[in-house]
Amino acid sequence: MTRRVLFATASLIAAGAVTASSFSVFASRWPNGNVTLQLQLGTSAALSNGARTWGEVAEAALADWNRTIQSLQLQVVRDSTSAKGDGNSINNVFFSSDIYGMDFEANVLAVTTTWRRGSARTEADVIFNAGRSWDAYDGTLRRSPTDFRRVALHEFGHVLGLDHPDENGQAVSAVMNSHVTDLDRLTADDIAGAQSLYGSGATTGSGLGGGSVSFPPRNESLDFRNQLEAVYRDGLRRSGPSTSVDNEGAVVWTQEYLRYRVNLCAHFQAVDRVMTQIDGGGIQGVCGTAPPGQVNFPPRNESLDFRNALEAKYRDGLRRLPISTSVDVEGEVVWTQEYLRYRVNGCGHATAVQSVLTQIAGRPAPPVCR
Amino acid sequence: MFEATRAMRLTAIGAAAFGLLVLTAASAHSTSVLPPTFDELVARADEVILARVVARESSWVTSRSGQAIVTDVTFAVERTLKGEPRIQRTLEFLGGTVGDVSLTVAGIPDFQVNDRDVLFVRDTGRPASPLVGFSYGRFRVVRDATFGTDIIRTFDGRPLASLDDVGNTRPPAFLKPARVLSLDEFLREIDTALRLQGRRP
Repeated sequence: MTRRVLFATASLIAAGAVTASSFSVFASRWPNGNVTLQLQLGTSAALSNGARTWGEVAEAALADWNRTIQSLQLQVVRDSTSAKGDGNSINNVFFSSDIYGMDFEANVLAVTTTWRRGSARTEADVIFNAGRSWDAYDGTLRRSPTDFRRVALHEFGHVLGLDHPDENGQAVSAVMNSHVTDLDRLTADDIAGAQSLYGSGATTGSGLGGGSVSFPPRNESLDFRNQLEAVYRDGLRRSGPSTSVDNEGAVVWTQEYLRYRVNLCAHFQAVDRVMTQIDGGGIQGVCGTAPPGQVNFPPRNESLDFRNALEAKYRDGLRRLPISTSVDVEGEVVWTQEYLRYRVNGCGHATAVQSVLTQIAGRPAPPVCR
Repeated sequence: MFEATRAMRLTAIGAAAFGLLVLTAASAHSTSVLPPTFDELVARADEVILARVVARESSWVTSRSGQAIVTDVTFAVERTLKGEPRIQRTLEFLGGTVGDVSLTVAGIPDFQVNDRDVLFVRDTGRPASPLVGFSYGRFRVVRDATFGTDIIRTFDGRPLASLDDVGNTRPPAFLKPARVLSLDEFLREIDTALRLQGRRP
């Protein structure tokens, strides 16, 4: 194949800006147990990797996934004669020249359609483009024929519930990246993604693994912001700075920005999503599931960059008039982030407020609560 | 010819102060879709429009193989660069949510009301996605808060630094290019490509 390599000079947003690069998942998973795929791939000529049938290759790819997960196993019916159809709760895997009556574009290799009811997956069909030339081989990718095995590996990842990490602000080595490469086996990131959905029982209880991060109610965050105002005004005797962003707007949107960040959105993605919300676009999707354990926050310079963008939005976009405050924007965003860091790491409202005030008083930062 | 003008029409937007990094390698293929280049997008599109989403509605449809959910997305067309000019355009995409049932197809774009995009549309048959290359025919128009200009991002949110990046490779998301195409520059490039391809209506 023609492999084009681009060397680009780019500016690094911040040293250590990638706080949690990892897999990306859809907002649904299968219930624990077994899911059966109807393999309906037909016959093939001799394949380059020695396999005798497309089904044999598909089963090998499924076995790769199955070995990595515990609470779900993908099973197959070989040479199935089940009806092929969408929305019929049957999981079909087959070649076709169309996607249930809708046209395959020539450059589309394969499609996975997934059905869910609420957050539970109910059906997934994998359709390989019959209009393309296929083979099965390991190693270096050729432009044609396309390697069926790695495409199947990728599509079965979608069946499990994995999305494209590189389309969700992540830079990782993964079969689940949207671009096929010479990678022909699952990587650590692919496996971590699958295990976040179907790993040990301890990490699957929430339905999306250990990734969901709960932020405090906004009234509590606003209460913190009001207390911060009082400390700056009455304790530190600060006064003077003006801002176009009222306290509530500042704390609500900073919290939203951080919510996107801890759920694996890159800086610019998080900024975009918040601005879209301010424009009335509604709550946007997050970019992934935060890994279990202590929740890491972005570098403060990025949060400050967001806060400056918010200021510009309120001033230039929403035409809000300046108001006075005792808290400069840097202090506001830094301490709001600190408050939220304590909150998402197990501290209650009062403890989080006190931990921040301790730091403002010049004492060491108390530990988080888990 | 065409290549030379591209490099000259880039907008500087905030070189960050944290040093430079050299990167990256990626293949020109997608597992699901072989990404089209910019020239391929222009050539393969029956319509190219700048438009804003004004409505979206998902519904059940019956096909020969059963039931499916499709989403009709209605756009207010601000400018037509290729194809028949229209005030509104409704495009049908496979997938969507009706009640608590959702059909998702990886690679098919998800539009929200008020999204503003440059779209490369195919107008033949009944495709699962009427955009060239599924999502690859979608370019997001977003307001740059720092400079107050409209800039172009790819469907997945990456700032588009150059037309050469279309269908080529993707920098890691934590790298922010020093320059990003503005909307005006992008539209001019499309116009230029259309003239060169002799397909301007």
